[in-house]
Amino acid sequence: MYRYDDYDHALVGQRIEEFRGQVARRLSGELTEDQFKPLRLMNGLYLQLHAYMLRVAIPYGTLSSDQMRKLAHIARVYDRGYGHFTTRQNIQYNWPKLAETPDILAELAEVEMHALQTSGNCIRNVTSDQFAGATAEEVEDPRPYAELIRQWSTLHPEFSFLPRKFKIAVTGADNDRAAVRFHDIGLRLYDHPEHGRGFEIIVGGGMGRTPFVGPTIREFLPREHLLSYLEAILRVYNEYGRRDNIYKARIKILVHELGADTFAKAVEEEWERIRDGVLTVPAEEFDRIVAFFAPPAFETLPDRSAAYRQALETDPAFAAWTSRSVAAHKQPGYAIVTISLKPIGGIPGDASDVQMEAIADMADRFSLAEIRVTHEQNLVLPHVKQDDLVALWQALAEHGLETANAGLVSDIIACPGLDYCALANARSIPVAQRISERFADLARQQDIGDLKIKISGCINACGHHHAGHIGILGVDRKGVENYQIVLGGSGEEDASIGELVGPGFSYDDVVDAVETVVNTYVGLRRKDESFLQAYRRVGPAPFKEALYGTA
Amino acid sequence: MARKITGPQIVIANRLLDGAVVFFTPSGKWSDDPADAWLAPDTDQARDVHEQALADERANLVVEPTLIAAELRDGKPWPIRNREAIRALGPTVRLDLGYQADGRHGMTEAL
Repeated sequence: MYRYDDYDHALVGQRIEEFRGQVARRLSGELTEDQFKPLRLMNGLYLQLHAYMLRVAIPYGTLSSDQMRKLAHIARVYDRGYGHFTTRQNIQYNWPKLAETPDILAELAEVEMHALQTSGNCIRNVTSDQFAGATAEEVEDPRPYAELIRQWSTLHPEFSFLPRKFKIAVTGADNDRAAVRFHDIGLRLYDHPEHGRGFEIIVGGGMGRTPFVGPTIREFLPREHLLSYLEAILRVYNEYGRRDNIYKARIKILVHELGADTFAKAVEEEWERIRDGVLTVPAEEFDRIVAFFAPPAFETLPDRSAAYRQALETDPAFAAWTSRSVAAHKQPGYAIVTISLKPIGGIPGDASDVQMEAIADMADRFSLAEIRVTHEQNLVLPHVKQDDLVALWQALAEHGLETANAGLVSDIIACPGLDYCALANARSIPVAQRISERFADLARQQDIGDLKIKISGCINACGHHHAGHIGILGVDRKGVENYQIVLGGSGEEDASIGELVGPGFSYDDVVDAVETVVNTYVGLRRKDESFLQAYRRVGPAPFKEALYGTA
Repeated sequence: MARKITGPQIVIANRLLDGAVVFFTPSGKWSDDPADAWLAPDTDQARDVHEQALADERANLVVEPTLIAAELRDGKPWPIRNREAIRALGPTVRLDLGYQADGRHGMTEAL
């Protein structure tokens, strides 16, 4: 894992002391709320419906066990005993007191974490594949590049007041777990048949009220030019992005209005001016960062563990869990384990302080002290010996973390919605809970197969409803919660935006509507055809018919 | 979101110290219980109540005092919209959190 150097420590430490002074001046009345609000937002502190909310960055979704232990400690000492893992691989605390937030930030700094740039019109926490550095699918671990981007973008003076927020995702695998086509910039590291290893550059994807699947503006960029090329993109955006209308200020609107080709041309022109300059990453500096992400000390093991194989044959509950939670590791004898934070009827992404500490202990015991956070609001232990899978599963079960539903219908993404969020128009979490309870039967879930339901409580789409196989958008219709259903979205390598199926449903009726959609799929699917494949084959008509009685 | 309110109204805000939800009362203090709120029967009187509440924002006691639609329930003011009802009670998905958890209603000590 990356470790702070003196510069990182000094930067974060100075920022905390600066914020401590700002909070003191706010509490003494020297600063008004208008003056203080942009300052607190720069440090990740929001004011929500019930209380302040602190959003802590988990860069590219990677945590050490010590960091997770600290997150648990903060939940217990400064908050209400839980944290909420978000769709951007961050964690949010829902009840911090203003006066204590500088202390929370100081505690985070002890484990090399911060809340910088988790809000505001700047470059936000860089996200990545939660299987990075562990999956055999990737050409290279993308996290050193993500760390490089974090360093370049942190307190970048030119990009601290962009027209709007800016999100970058990086993947090194063909199976896109980082939703790179739905980011302001998506980076896909791959091996080009002629040019060798480099990045595909995708710009202008996004969700929100105007969703776009991002176009590729450059098929291939040599790796050493990454920062200068990103700088060129940001400069074009900073200059031409709209500042007069918040709804048109994201880079996706600029790319769409100019056209991807014209936008790309402007970037190339800017890049020609600055390429081969100070932003060319020196090999020794990059090697320094890469060294932090060197593979941990794996043992030499047989490819398949006999104990694991035997347990699969003898324990159906264990086998059911592994079928959803265990993925192939690049190292023989190891596995990647997804921990579902979606117990039936639970709150998606919430973990208690006790659970977080237990997971930290499990990471120490079973995963070389590493943990990942996924944008689907689950956790991952990336380096588990197959020999240990049974013991890990039993340890997870002691803390209610053994739900065998990863990627199934009850593994639902939901934003905090109107239960917490000041922007929300409708509740998301209880809709997710009710759907999860409706489909609680695991055999039924397994029969339905891969199905991603994603729920947002407002048009800003933090719950990624546009990218849900079944997406749900909560709206306020004359003071009453109403839920629109979109079908056929995907956030993966086959990215697409879901289509609105028809008029919305009431809070009471939306779960029945989702079940009708699922049953319609089950009735028309072909052998081994997933929901998304079936939808793409038949289109919306059968679902409209089932929901509204009209084709 | 600012929307035009015509009927009876009360003022809601977050307390500066911890962001806790509070309502402006006829005594000029703040309560965590909307039942204690100063119910202005119409827009003109609501404007006056809001003016007084805004003084406490300038005094750095509360953040963003806002007029919201309210009605009498069992003779006490209560927010009409879900959003403010949730603010008055706590998250509907965690009944152990927020004011609903301990039934603590009454004048807020800190103000």
